[in-house]
Amino acid sequence: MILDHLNQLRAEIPECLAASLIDMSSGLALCTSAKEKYTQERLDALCSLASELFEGSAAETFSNALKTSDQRECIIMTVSETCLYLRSVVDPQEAMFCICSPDVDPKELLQNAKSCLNKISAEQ
Amino acid sequence: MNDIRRLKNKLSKIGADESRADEATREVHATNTTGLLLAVLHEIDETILARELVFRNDAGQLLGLDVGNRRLLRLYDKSGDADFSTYHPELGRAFSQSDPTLTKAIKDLLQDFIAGSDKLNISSGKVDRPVAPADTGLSAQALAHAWTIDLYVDNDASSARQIEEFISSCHDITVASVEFNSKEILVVSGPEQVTEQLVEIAQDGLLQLDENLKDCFQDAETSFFVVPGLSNDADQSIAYVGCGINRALMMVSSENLTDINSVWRQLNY
Repeated sequence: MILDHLNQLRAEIPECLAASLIDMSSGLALCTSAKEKYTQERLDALCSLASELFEGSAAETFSNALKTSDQRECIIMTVSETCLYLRSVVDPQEAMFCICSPDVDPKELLQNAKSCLNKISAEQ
Repeated sequence: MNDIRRLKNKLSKIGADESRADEATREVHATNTTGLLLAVLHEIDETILARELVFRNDAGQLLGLDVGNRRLLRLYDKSGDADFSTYHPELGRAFSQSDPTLTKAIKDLLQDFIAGSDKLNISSGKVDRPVAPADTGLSAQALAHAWTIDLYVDNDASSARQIEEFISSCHDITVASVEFNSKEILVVSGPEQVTEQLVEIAQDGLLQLDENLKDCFQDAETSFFVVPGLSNDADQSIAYVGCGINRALMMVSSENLTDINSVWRQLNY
């Protein structure tokens, strides 16, 4: 079950407040595990950001500058949150985001989130 | 000669009369809520003789402020918005002394009024509501102190300084950097071949990304740090940093990404 994997990720990384599997083509959060309920507006906005980072003008700009084929990961930090975006290797339309408190270790988060997304992709 | 006329004459002599009071409508812009709160505080701080200041937000809602002696005397709804008035009972009430509950309520009210606006229109007129001598109002300085806003700081200059501080903290691990805002490229540093690339990105703009960030993260207007391609195959990675209206793009060796994340977090936590 997708939710079990997302819950497990949150259990492994206590700073992770929410983890969600999203479909970029429809802009939908398919499954979300969160400490507190997120408003639909915020989930929609987080899905739009995923599209911009992986398929939009920002993705193209950064890929061209770095001469890489595409972007698969992105970390965003604000004063109050750290957010990781990951794109699925198996289905490029699928991605995942994790919203964490600012004190999360980005390296550990990246490693565990990658493993979580790989497990989800393998099951589909 | 009454007291007001005497005071007006005196102000006129020292060149501090409020010529702005006769202007029709002015507009103040800011990139975030704090900037607009600061603009309201500056209006209060610069008003010596009693005036009615009417602010219009981007939604067309009107908020009146009775101001005098550089103090906020009263707030009232000028749009007839019953919901707004019900939600903010301090509207229409004259302020006689500062207390934390009141200053917070006033801040909440102004933030509600400002939400979604990036400018305010201000008009000024005569006060037509009597103010009791006991109602001394709240000074702009007291409000700024209660709201932990520096009344005399230039927010844009301050955000530019924060970006500079971050870049200089990462100097040893940065290949090249470009500081810019929506109008111009401010500082370029590093090998020409790399900075040309970064300048091109800055000039093309990352407006859509900025908009998305603002929609997702409440405090992205204050500052954000984005690293796309955390573990891509390229030797180098780009970091995109924002603080207020100022932005920076940095080319960083991929092996130093963890360090640069830590530096940003240390400066912003």
